[in-house]
Amino acid sequence: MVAPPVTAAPVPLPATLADELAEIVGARRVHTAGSQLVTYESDGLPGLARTPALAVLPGTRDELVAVVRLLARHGVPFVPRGAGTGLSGGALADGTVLIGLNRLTRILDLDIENRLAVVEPGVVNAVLQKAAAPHGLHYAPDPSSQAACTIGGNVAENAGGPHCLKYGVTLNHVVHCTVLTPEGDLVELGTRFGDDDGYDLLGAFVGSEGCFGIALDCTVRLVPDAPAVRTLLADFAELDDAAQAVSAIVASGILPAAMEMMDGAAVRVVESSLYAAGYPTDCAAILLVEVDGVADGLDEDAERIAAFCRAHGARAVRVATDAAERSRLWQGRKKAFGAMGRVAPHLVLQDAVVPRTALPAVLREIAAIGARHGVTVWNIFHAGDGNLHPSVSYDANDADEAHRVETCMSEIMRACIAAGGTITGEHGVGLDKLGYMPSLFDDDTLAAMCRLREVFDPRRRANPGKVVPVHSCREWHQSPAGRARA
Amino acid sequence: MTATPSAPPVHAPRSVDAVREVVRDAVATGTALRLLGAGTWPHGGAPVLADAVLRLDGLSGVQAYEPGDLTITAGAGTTLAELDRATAAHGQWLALDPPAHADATLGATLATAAWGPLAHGVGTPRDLVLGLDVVTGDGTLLRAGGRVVKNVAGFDLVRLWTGSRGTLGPIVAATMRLRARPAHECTLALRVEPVAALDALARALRAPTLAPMAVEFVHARTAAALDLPARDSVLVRLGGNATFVRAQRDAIARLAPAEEVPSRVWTSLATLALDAPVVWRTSAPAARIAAAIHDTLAHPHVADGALVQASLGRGTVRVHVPVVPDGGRATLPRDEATRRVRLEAAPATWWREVPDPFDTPLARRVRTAFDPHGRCNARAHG
Repeated sequence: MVAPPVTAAPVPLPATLADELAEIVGARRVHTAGSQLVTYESDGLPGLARTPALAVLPGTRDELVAVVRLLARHGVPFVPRGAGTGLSGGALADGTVLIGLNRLTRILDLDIENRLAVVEPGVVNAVLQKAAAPHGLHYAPDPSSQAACTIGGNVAENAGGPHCLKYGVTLNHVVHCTVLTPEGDLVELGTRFGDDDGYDLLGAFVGSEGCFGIALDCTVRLVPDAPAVRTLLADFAELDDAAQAVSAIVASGILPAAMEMMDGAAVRVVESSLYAAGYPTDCAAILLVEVDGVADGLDEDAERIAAFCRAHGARAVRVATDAAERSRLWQGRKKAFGAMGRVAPHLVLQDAVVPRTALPAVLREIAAIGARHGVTVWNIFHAGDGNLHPSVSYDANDADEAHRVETCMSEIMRACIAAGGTITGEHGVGLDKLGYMPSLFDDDTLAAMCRLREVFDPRRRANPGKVVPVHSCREWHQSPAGRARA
Repeated sequence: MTATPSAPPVHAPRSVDAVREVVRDAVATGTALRLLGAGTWPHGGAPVLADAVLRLDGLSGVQAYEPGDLTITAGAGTTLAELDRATAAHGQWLALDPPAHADATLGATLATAAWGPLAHGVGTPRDLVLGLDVVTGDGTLLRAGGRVVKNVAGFDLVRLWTGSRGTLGPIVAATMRLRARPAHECTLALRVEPVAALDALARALRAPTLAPMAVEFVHARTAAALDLPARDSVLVRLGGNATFVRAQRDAIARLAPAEEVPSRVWTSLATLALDAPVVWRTSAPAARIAAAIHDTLAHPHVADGALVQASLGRGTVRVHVPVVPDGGRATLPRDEATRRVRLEAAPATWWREVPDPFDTPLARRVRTAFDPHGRCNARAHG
């Protein structure tokens, strides 16, 4: 949402490429017609569209390896894509080859004894959950798009979700990946069992947004289902009170499984949709707090949280009494963006993180920025992590409104950076946040990120032009260290 | 700078700029630098070339601590003891208990990615580090990550440097995620008798209804070294509110004969046999940890008074051998999980017998990208 991202200039594809790819995957799995490619021109983020020159959909690991090696021989850039639910424009291919991974959907192993699953990249998060559930296990990262998003995409983005507050993000749950580098080499990163040594290249790979290669398989931890859960809904008449309550709960040291906040405007949108969860429509904000784990002592933690909420002005605190009520409370939160999407043609959603003590001040500032530009900003976010998702529903075809929304969002991001925060907590940089990278990292650090990318992808062909602004890489190549290596 | 005829000169800079100066100077003069924290880890892994030593314990002190955020930023030379004191004042802690003295530094803990029994419940340094300031092998300062608890902006230089053992250049400062200190704690020693009962006990301790912070097997000789009765035991550490600790203690005590022991046993364990000339780790799938422990106890070097401990949940067995075996010849185990052994300390000749994890094709490319001249902690191949 800042200056138009600079992407690497598209490279003309070899005339024979489509035929050569068809030999590997079959002609039906190579899409070149505009009517087919339009499917891939955007991801979950509205407002950015790029059309690939070609999309190829390998159906097996061997086909995928052959496809990537062919592209390496031709020196053709490519963009890997899972379900296309990403929110940063990270899976857009601009006049180049898009590799769709959602046919690689096998769960290769469920190691119940050791609580591990080995999956292909196209396995949908919710499908893995369903496979693990009969064994009393689950995969902890739970992004809101989990019904559609893939584990490969989750690994690429280092995806989060409400329950990452206690359980950690994707990085903390992936122990091994077999990675196909953009040059077509197979490398094993991490270890299925025991502890690894050497460079944490798995840690570097997770969250590399498709720029370091493609995971052919991912081994992830499965976590036992919590034997007991308490879900609380606290209703606040003042937004600031809710923010103060979040800070107090965090500072108390209780580690809830999740702590989500939704402001009154967002609550009213949800309640007027088919996802209505029974939230109080006259509130200024609600907090949805969940504690889980062994039953012992859990009620004390829930009581303390309720007391913090009341002490900070909550009008009411309700505890879900059964599983049905709990899932209804969560549905309102999980489907909130779907509900917002119905209000106007376009929805823009940001992903900043601020120190948790800064939440009250930053929320006040967001309100002020919105008011200044005549834009209604909804706040619905992972409060326990300080991970904000300011959102605006608008009509991108209205030039004046689009401009005001863009300015408003940009000012919000800068306010979050100024508060000591970052520009993305779980959605990735992609194309959308590229312009903010220089305000977060200095030139040397951006150049070092380019160097790390080139360890995996020396020709920068995988997901070109994403994550780190192209000029940072150029500057590195002009530096003495860069020249020595280039 | 101090020097003796036999020892390499030691640089102990007190500022980041001075660190960069030392590194740039080493590049210009072709000097191999050995990076150290406080130098209290007697064996910091594989032997490295050392024309000069760069100590980083001069970069000490807490730079930012906002208790309400549960994050702390400190110089790499800050000791774990100092961090413990600063955070204890607010009922918080940096929940890492690596095998190290309390005067070990934060930087060395991160550079070695060293972890201890608490990793079972809390994770390892890679899970707790949020941001790093580092100096590359060509003297460039990088500021990676941030001070917030969730951050996916850019490629992850933080994870790359964590566990890099100084081979990419020194860590100069770090921001860490803190936890609340548990309101109540309790440590139980469970008797494992006979040792064949370990498999069933390890499985029972993995029940979803139990949530210990640490589950560590110590074999009889190790238990004695900790001033516990000399028998094979599993140490279980519990932390939480009073109801939780009481109920969990009672449930766990039903699994095996149990005795409550003082929590200082964890400090003793962390500092046990740190000067042992041979230390190695092997790993196994968590469900096979008991078999791996049995294999370890039967190992020829272990019979000679070695101390054995194992993190049951993480599937890692750790062995301290107090004297180099006769003739100095290595008989190293290879674990079933990874076909490897990880040496932490060993005579120079032993290191040649295990693959160097920093010497894979991809690792060499990483090294060249950030320490292009190979000046920092370059492996000595003697």
